[in-house]
Amino acid sequence: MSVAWQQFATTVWQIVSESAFWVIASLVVGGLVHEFLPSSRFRELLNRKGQGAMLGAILFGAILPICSCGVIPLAISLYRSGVRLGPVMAFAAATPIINPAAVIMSLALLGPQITLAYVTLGLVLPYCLGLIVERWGTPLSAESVAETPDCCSGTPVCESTVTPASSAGLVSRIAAGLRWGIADLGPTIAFYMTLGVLLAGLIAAFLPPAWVDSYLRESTGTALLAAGVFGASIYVCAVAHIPLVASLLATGAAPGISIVFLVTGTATNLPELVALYNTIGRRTVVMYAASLIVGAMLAGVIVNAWLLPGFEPVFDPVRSLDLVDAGERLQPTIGNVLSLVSTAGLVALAGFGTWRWVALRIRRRSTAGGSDDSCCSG
Amino acid sequence: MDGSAATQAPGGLQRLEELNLLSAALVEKAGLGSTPAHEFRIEARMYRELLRQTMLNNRAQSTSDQLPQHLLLDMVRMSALLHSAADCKTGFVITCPADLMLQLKSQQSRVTQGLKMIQMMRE
Repeated sequence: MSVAWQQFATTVWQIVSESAFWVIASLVVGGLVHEFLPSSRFRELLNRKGQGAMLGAILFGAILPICSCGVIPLAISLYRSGVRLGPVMAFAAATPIINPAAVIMSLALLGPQITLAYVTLGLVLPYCLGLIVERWGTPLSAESVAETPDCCSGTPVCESTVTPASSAGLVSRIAAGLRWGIADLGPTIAFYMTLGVLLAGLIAAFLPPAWVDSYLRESTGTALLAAGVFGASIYVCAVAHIPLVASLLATGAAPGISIVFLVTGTATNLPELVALYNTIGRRTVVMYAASLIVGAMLAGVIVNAWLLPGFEPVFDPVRSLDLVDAGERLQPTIGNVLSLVSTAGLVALAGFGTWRWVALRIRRRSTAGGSDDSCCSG
Repeated sequence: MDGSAATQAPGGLQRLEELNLLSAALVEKAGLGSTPAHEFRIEARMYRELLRQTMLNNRAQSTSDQLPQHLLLDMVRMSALLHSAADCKTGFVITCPADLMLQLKSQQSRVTQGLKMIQMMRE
């Protein structure tokens, strides 16, 4: 097997194994959210006009240690539960960008100025992004929820968008929530994630790392765009990504490039974008990705203007090492066995989702009257 | 400068050279694709603790005998990168993505260069 294909296989495995536990956990929580949220007063709170819900979603996301793949099921279940699009997408962006462990690691390895820019951007960018998608994105209307079961027969994730009954007992509601999360939403998410993971694997295998590395050391507009697009396509978690960015910064990368690569790298990735594109809506996701990249680039320009020329992060090495330790301790670690079991579970869900997708296509062809466009897409 | 500080200064540099050899071996192991993850993690932790001890000893030296901060910071970054590499597992072995491998090698050569510079200056 050639080196490129080995790299492809390694990348695919890494994305799946690193994100599997969080995706499964998020499916479980997402299922419960979908079951209980529509009938609770919390949904009214989240849908209240004004900016409170958006700020709450961002702050809640900022304390969760979930990566950009793990946040997908939770974001989709919030969306399918009727929460406003703005807070949902702001939550989806804020959760992977920023968390306490990442902020401490950033302070330890990137210095106070870049950390200040990172935290500010991690809070402001999701807010702006939420405003943009809420204004111009495609919300899940009451009509579409009501019409979904007829138009989407065969895709259970859509059938279940109908508000669940709140009169059933607690145990049966928990079971219904888990069934929706794992059996309905899970295969759909896992299928679309698989497409994104394969794409990300191809990029990692065939894009020369030296080319990316040399681009990240420039500070031109093209380099900022390259850092944004490349960052948005790869899968990384904030805590693991920061040492890499610190190394780039130490070897001459512009601080603006570092912040763009850090924020777009952690905020999103191809598996997430493909999954959201096919479940939340095309226009919304294009807007989400474009705003993220453009917003990060603008921030990169501002950071370069602020810190260049002559920026060199200087701090006490002992304190820096202590902070790195503290950041790593805050980041939850998943044991080998749990990780392998979750990976097997996610692969099984992806297999089931693929089978379901193929079966639906065959059924549509055989009836010959169906449209190729899924109503699940926006 | 007292006598004890004078004798401790080369010791600190020698310890950094040993740490550099350890990190070079770990970078090589990270690229093999067959290193047991638990073994790598233990060695990466050992690197960090030895580095911490060396830096604490260095703090006790007089200012003129202290090791350069930029070199120590480079080794702190090396330690963080090694810890990231320890998290890149395929089952029970370490397999690093290409971009992380590139940064590991680049950081390793940066530390080696820094050490060479200090040796030349002290000679």
